Amino acid sequence: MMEGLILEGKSLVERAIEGDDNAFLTIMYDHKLPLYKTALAYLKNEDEAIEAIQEVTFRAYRNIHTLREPEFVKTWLIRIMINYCQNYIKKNKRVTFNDDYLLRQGKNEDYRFIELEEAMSQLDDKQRQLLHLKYFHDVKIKEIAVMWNRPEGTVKTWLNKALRSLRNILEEKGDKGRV
Amino acid sequence: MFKNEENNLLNLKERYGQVNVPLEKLDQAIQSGFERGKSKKVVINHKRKYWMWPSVVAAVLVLGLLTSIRVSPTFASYVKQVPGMEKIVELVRNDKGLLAAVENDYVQKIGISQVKNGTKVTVDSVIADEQGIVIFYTIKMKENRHNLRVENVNLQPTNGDKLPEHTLEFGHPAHEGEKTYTDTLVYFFNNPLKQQDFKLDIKVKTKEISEQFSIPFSIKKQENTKQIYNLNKTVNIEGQKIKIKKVTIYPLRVAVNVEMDPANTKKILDFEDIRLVDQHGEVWSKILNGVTASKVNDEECTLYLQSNYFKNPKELYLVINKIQAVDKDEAYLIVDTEKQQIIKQPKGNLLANIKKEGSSLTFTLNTKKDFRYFLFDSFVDANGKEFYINVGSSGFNEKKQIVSLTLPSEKYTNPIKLKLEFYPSWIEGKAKVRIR
Repeated sequence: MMEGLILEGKSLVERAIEGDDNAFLTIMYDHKLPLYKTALAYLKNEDEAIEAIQEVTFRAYRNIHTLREPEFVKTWLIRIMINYCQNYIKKNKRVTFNDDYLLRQGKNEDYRFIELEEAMSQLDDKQRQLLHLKYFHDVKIKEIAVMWNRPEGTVKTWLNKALRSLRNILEEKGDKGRV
Repeated sequence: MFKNEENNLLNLKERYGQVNVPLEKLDQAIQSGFERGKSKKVVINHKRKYWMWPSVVAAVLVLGLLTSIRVSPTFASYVKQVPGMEKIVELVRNDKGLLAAVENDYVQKIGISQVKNGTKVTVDSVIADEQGIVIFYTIKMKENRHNLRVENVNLQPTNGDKLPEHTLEFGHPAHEGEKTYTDTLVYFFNNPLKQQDFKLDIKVKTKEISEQFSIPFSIKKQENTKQIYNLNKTVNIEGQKIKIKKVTIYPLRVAVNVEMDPANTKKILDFEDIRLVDQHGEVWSKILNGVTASKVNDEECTLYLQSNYFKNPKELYLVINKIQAVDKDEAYLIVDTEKQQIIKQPKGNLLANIKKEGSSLTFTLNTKKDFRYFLFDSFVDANGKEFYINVGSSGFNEKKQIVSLTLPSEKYTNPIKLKLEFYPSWIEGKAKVRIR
């Protein structure tokens, strides 16, 4: 994972943790796409997603010294982003689902995705975060377990619960649709 | 078991892989987030004669970025016509008083440069009153440079006199890899400034170059530029008595001299919400980016507000709503850094999870909202020796405020006593004093 990033015996992330600004910026630029997509998935609004990038850069910079597992820097950043987005949505008390954005991006067949997204937004914060990390960013269960300080088995159970909740929400919708 | 759901999620991921990404905007957002982060890292310089409250400076800088003042359309179009004016307005737009000074033609054009090996430093213009001077300057480099720093800034009267005791602020963060950098040097003096002719020494350093510049310039005589109001009125906020001694309105800022009653039970840490209000409800708040207060002694200080000098309202009030304060007999924290133990702290036990790693000491601070102040700036060790904390930071992360500081490299003896400079504990009221 760190290939090409090793310099002077220390990884980029290790240097950033020690306060090397250039290393920090490089990390941010390296992870801007997954961060932006996370923001977009939660906020559904380009301007707000960009603002989120700024805020997350700020928070990451101020807290990078607290990062204990340099190899999980990507997940660490994405979690900061998810926390920011979840708080932002709560603070603004708005309906999280706004299909304008995706509709503008694509065509009619996307209705399926809109339903899925709506269902995602109805999950509780932890479940949504879990699905997001696992399926959007391919974060391994093992890594999530370390980050959350829980046994792998527990995380697996949560993941199954999250998928089940998602299925229930979608099925409930489908039923209503058919009435 | 959930193949269907899993596939749906993966398809959704694919879709997000296809959205248009505004790459340039993302890079800008990263850059500004980084700059905000940097400017909030509080670096305290104890050699200053004046007392500064840099954490307040840093704290409000962020706010300032979000709430810059709107400029009237006529003024905006005027700004566009005058070369160099846009840059000046950009630099003062967080300060109503300075903006009004620009709007009222109070800016003195200078335009004197020095060139050394392709690097050019220009003193563009100044705004001055008898108590302060704001110098606008530009550094132009031949090529894109990195890690730009400005050092050894020294303003010297040409006649050989010394500058009066003063504060100096500068160092607006530079964009990486750019050719041009514009910033202000902001001097405020303890005594009125008599001189008009100066030499500005400044060292420009980048990763690639290091050059010393010396630029002579003169300013107009500054006299009778202030209005003094002796008030000596006492306000009471939650039982704490504060005497508003004097308000002095200068073109660059307003100075409010306050004195705390020695019998107060609380130590006043910061006037968080203090403002000038006129008869129409127009507000001039604290200085957003700069020196916000100077301390005379434990009971007396001067607070600085944005200036309404150019507005001259018929009625003017000073309003105090919110003050950071902590009980006098517990305005400190005692810790043992080796045992990683908090021995004593104010009631409420807001601080916890003390951790020492190398020279870094961190705590969590239990606050509901981001507390954008740095709590300490010095400590006394078990032998009574005083140490300054040069670098500290305070950040909000996952519902927790993390306060960290760098311990000095010299030897100290545990336990240490940290005096609280700021603390998330407030008194509130609605004090209003008429100034005129």
